[in-house]
Amino acid sequence: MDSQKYAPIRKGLLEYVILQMVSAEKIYVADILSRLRDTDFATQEGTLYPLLSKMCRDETLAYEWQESESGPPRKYYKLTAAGKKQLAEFRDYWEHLTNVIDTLGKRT
Amino acid sequence: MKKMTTVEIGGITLQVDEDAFVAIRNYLERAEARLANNPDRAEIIADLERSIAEKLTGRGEAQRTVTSGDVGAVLQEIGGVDGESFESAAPLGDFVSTRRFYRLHDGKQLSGLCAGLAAYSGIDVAWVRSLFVIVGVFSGGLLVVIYLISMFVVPLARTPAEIAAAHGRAVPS
Repeated sequence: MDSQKYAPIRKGLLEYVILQMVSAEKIYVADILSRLRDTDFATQEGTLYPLLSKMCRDETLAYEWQESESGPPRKYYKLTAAGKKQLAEFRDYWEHLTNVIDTLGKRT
Repeated sequence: MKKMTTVEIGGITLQVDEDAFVAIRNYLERAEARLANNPDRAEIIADLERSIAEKLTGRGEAQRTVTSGDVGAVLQEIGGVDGESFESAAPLGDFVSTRRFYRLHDGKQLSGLCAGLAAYSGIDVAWVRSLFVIVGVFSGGLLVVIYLISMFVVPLARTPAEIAAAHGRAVPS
């Protein structure tokens, strides 16, 4: 499978993948990276930080600081009410799109 | 002998050698330029700095001086900012000096010397080759001699690491 061909789709979906991950529990960047590592959505901090900052600005995510034993303090991200709504909307839309594609594939 | 510097990054104080310092500074400057129109620029840069600090301290031996090798590995892991890839927009050679002059097998006509020089200098191989031919004709054979000597002096890039270094890229993992 030419997975590079679907890179733009994955890139667009990453925001919702993150919303989904954060919806379960508060997580920090290393958690996000390690969980995505073996999936189609594997990414790097260079990509993730700009996206997370944008999501915070859109107020779908919020973060709180937590001290770390060894290094600098860490940002733990959590879902806001707006983020929850966005995620629900996305899931509906995704289902809708899948339906549309299925329907268009059928002979009428 | 290497010059040491103490830097404060992401709220952590680290002892780094000069190459490591330059590598971090170049990476951050590049990220800033890349994010010039991003309203979150300051925040993203601070995130990157914390991440670099966390990874460098996480590499154990906190007392040890950070080298450009450490920094190279960390920056490779973090990746270019905003989808910028090390291969295209920001060769790691700009951050860590890994660029070496090799002859290249790929795209060679005779010995791969021009291909290697093109990769090393970033100039299109067609230009390098044309220049060689033109200067070769006008130099009355002197360049031909230089070319022949270089063929034996300049090593051929054989391993992936050497090929990457020929292009000034990071070693593929």
